[in-house]
Amino acid sequence: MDILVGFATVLSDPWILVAIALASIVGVVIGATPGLTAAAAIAMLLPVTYHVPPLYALAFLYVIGKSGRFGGSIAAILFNTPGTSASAATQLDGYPLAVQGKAGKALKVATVSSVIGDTIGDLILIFGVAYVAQLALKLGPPEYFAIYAMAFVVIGSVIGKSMLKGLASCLLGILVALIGLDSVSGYARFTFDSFQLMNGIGLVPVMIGIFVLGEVFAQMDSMKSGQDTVLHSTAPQSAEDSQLSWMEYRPCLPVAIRSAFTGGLIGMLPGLGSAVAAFVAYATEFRRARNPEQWGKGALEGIAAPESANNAVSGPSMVPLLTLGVPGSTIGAILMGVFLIHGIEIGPTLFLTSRELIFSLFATGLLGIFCYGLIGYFGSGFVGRLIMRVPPNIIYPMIFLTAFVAAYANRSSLFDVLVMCVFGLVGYVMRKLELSTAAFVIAFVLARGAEESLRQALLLSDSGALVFFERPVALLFFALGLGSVGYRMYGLYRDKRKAAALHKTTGNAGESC
Amino acid sequence: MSRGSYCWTGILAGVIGLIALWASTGIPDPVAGEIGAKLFPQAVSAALILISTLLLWNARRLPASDAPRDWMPQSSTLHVLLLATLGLTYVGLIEALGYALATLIASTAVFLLFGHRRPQRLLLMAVLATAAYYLCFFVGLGVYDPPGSVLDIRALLSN
Amino acid sequence: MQLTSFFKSAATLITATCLSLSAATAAQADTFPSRPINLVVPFNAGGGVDAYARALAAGARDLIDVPVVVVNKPGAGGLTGAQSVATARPDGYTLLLTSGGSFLLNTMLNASPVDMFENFQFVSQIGQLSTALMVPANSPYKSANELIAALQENPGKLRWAHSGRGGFHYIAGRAFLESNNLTAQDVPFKGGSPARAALAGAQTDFGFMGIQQARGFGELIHPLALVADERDGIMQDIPTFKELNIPFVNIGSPVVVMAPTKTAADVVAQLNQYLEQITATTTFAELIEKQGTAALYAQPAVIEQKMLDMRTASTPVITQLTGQVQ
Repeated sequence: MDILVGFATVLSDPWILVAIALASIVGVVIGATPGLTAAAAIAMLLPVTYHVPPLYALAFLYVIGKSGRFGGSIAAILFNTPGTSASAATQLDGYPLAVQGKAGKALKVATVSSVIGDTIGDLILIFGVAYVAQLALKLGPPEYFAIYAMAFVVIGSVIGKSMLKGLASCLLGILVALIGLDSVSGYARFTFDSFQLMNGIGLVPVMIGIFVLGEVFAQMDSMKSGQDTVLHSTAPQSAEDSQLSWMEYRPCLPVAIRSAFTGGLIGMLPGLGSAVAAFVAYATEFRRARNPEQWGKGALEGIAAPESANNAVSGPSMVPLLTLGVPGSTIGAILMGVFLIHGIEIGPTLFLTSRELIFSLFATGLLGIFCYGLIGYFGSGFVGRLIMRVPPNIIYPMIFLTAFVAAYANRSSLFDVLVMCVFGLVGYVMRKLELSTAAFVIAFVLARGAEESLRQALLLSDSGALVFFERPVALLFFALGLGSVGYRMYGLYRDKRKAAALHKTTGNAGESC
Repeated sequence: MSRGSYCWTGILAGVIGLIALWASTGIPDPVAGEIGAKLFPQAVSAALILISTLLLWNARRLPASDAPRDWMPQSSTLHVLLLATLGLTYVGLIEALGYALATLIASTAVFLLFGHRRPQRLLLMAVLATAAYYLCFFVGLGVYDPPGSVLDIRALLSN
Repeated sequence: MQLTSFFKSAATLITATCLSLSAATAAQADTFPSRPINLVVPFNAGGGVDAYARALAAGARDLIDVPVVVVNKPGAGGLTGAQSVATARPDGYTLLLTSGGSFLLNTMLNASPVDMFENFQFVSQIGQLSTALMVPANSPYKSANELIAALQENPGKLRWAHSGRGGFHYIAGRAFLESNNLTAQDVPFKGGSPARAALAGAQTDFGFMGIQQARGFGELIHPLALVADERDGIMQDIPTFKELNIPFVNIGSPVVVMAPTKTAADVVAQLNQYLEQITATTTFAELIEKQGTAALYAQPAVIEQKMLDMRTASTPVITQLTGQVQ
């Protein structure tokens, strides 16, 4: 058992334990700060890693990546602002719970689900690494496209009251995503001859703009028009609202476990990332849910699914990183850099040459999960209560200022800050017009990758679109997506018939699209 | 769901769709055997125009709402616009003065907009906020501090 | 804090600032460098070019009193970061470290607001990136000539992977195909790693990618020929196209450090001297070698000539490409 050897190595070195604890804290804080990715901080620490043994540096980075994914959920739940793109799905149900004064409960569900997802992901990595490596080699653009198509289905569940407005939001999101140089042909699209737009519109500034700044504008609006601000409109919390009982979590458990496997599978495909995993898991579980009417309004399962899935990506995504040298994120790329600096060649033979190091790294991962789980579980109630106590005329100005520095820090680009500002207004107008900001952002996140993988798949294919039928994994995801759409259509049809029956009896034929 | 919000969404979507459709004509045609860079932009623009027509068509059928401007509140909008203007000005200030000075000014203004009126308190909060952000991001995380194009304090302080 | 006293001190500061502004610029050259030097890398942290910058910063620690700070400004194939340096204050404290080949070819391919020769002056070359023709390990083609024969038999049928149109790997690949009158379908990937993974999984028939990418992938990928006149310093058993007598265009990418055009000559000379010393240190050489890429120092005049030659050599391919676009 290599993993036991790994544990022995790690546990016998107190400094590694310190590094893990430190990384858990740093990761949670960075993840919880909207728009701030750990990459900037880590890149700065990179020179330090030249001089310490590789395991220290690797453990530190690996654990930051894990706890950062969890930390993102904190901001998503408390401020309706995903701390990282991975937690954009968490806010769909997390924020309504915070509004109901149940932020503490929501944070605990997020913690428990992240821990479950992350652990399952790591177990897949530890025990299945050989098979996963074989599988990862065979997956290419067709599978990517199938998964993107599947992830698009999630938009159906966030589309809101009006189908037309939901579709409009979604199309607008795709249009914005198309701005910039097309990665397949290299041609400029929708750049209007602006050099700055050639690089496209960044995900981070758009998210901060739409969710954070848009929210500040909306809060300003409601403060000035005499309404209560959302965070403080609630009755004082009872102790029960920040507790989580086993009875409450029990229905979430199967959701979290299934989502962990979804996330794990997506993790094997580098580049898709945690955000896609979270959306796919949310869509899949929404389809299966026994209480679909509560989803989007504060269902605990609606937090469990994306949080478990986005953390389950962490472990399996190490396989393509280590065996194929394809990093799934900037942190992944830096992690690769650390291997190289220490003269460890990444590639198919890595598991033969550096087996002990790799399994020690996996052991630190499991310890890191334990660490951020403790922080999350015992800290979340406290953080939730603390935030509720800060008056809104302090917290919203601070969120406003944070939005700017976060948009800048991401790529040291003032243009990004400008983009963030513009999308703040876009977010505000969309809220006013009752357009779906979630549909907009999800479409934005997925569109570029979906188009790219579709076109790559067709370039690689001798049989045109038939290539998707030659690939079992791709077919599986298409089937899941179609099943999900079909089920949803059936649900809508059923509701409509019920409504029609109701209308007949009351004699009212008014209907909005 | 008011007629107004449908109308405005329809008009907005239509205008954006038309601009996008026009802009996508400039994208080079694909090489034979490829989907090409043009297909998606054109398809999406066309779909948006279609949706816009449907929205306007449906708005016609909707009953006019009791409060005709419920989708656009009145006095509070001014404050939102002020805040947005502040945001854009802030970006310009960072460019001209560097992060620290710009944030000092912008944080004073934003606290003012959110209803803090006592000068001492206002200034204290602005200084504290600026110091906190500067220490956390530029010193702690080592983010690159853009030198102001008009006034670069750090260059002057180091001399 | 008293309000009036705050304003007073603020006013004093601003006055003092304005007065010393002109004096400050003049004074800087004498004491260069007196504050941290920002080294802008127009790519993400963790990549091959970034590694050069990090190694440079590590090597500078023992030689220069001020720290060298690496700033990652990715975007538009490296042009975003380049533009930010071109418009920065030309005081020697903001420098660009980039892949010269990609920078040059990008500005030639797209309407670009920056020009390598007009907006910048070369400080020095510190490294060299080379591209190579590679095939999957289980490929039926065991040599470059076998592959060429297969390409001649099936024009346009074979597929090749690269890291994106506009990068020097793609241009080098195109130039190879053009010089041999061959056609093949290219499949662009987003970056070198995904392209390598596609090749390792035999999803394409061949590919052009950085020679360092083959290290550790011996089981999955076979490099067939290097696009260069001389063999690579690390992967010494890979023959060059020149040795094989196969027509090709020598397109590589020197890693260069550049400063805005108006930077004072003595500052650039000082920087060049530092870079010459740093590239000679073992710290720098070891760090670069571990990445699998090569350290290579050259004087500003030498590297400028190299880049001008490369522009001349790649113009036909670029014209052919942009002609195809319009």
